[in-house]
Amino acid sequence: MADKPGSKPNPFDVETIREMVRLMTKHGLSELDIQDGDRKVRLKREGKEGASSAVALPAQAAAPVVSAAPANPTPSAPPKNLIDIKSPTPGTFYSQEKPGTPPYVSKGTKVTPATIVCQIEAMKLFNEIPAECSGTIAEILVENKQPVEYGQILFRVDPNG
Amino acid sequence: MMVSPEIWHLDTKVIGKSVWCFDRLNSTSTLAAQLAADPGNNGLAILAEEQTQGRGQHGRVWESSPGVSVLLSVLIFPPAIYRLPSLLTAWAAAGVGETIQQILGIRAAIKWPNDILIDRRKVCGILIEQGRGTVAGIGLNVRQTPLDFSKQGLAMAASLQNFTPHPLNTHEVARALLRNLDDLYQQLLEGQLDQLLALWKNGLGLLGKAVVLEERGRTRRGILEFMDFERITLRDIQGQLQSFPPENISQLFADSLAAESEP
Repeated sequence: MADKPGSKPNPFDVETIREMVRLMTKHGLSELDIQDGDRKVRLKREGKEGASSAVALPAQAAAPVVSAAPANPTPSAPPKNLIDIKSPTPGTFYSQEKPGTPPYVSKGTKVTPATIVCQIEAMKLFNEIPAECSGTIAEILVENKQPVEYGQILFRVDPNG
Repeated sequence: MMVSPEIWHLDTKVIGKSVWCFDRLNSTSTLAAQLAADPGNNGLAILAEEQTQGRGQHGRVWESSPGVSVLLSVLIFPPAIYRLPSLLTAWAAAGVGETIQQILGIRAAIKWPNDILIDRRKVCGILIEQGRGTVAGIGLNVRQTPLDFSKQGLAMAASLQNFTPHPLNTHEVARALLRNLDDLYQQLLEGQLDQLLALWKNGLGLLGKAVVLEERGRTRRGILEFMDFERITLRDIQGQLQSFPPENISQLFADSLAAESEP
């Protein structure tokens, strides 16, 4: 969902939302943010958080993980109204285009919605992840080649930076 | 500046309606990714006889001599719900598998996640990259001789020509491949995933067998009970079922120790 194909379904169409809810149920997700330009929709599912064993996190993963959403409307709200950039897929995080090249972004890098911030590899398929927001990279929460989960926060962007 | 390509128009639905064939190009996938800025290029295929900077996984170089391989990149813009790594990898692998079946009458094997083998030797590599569009890069060995591979130190590589006395032509193979990719892509767009799933399962050939599964750095062993594009289910030695998203699985192969350790 972070990517922008030329002809993607309108995220505000009822059929699309129904499909998203089906995928959330299947993967045991409790919360899903979808953004299309400056329009946003947040889907939340009550109960059964993390029930799916399929997406259970292995014990050795040291990464911070998106926690199941509590009832509080602003659950793990980052300080200073930072914007989260999340992984649209499980996979391996790559901070650079290829070994030996500089990272796509560092702390303090200015980004626009189209700026590529990293790649996520799954099954040898490489997804370029655009920032989808404007501002300055304030935090980088994962390391190069680290495994990440669906929806895991990768970066926090300061929109006023 | 690149030399203008020969252009083909196949009577397909999307993929291959327009095909640009270059003698020589830095990389078919690099060009396709540049053309992804325009969604009007949906289905465009880029072919090259020779690549000077062909890309393998994560910046590795894909070696090729002129005129012996199908070096193809296809640009598509699938809807978001179909941009799953499992589905797109299976689509490309199944397209190659069907082409090999038609040309050689041989069932090729898929080695998880994205290599195509005949007789345990690699004949094809696939690299899919998604940015503004989806670019599926396919390098299929067609006319190399065993000597070509041994000179390059590629003992476990093979070409389609190694399996038939009938002389093969890279352009004919490319056209067959584009038609198969187009057929399977139409099924995918229509949500008809049965044939694609069957081709993927058969290509992997592991259902019901003892397997080793590498999942996020952990090695697991068991019987492969079930698989689709959203989960792979293993029955472990205690009989417990465990499911994993395909995206978390880096390796999946037959457990050669299991047969020996049977009582």
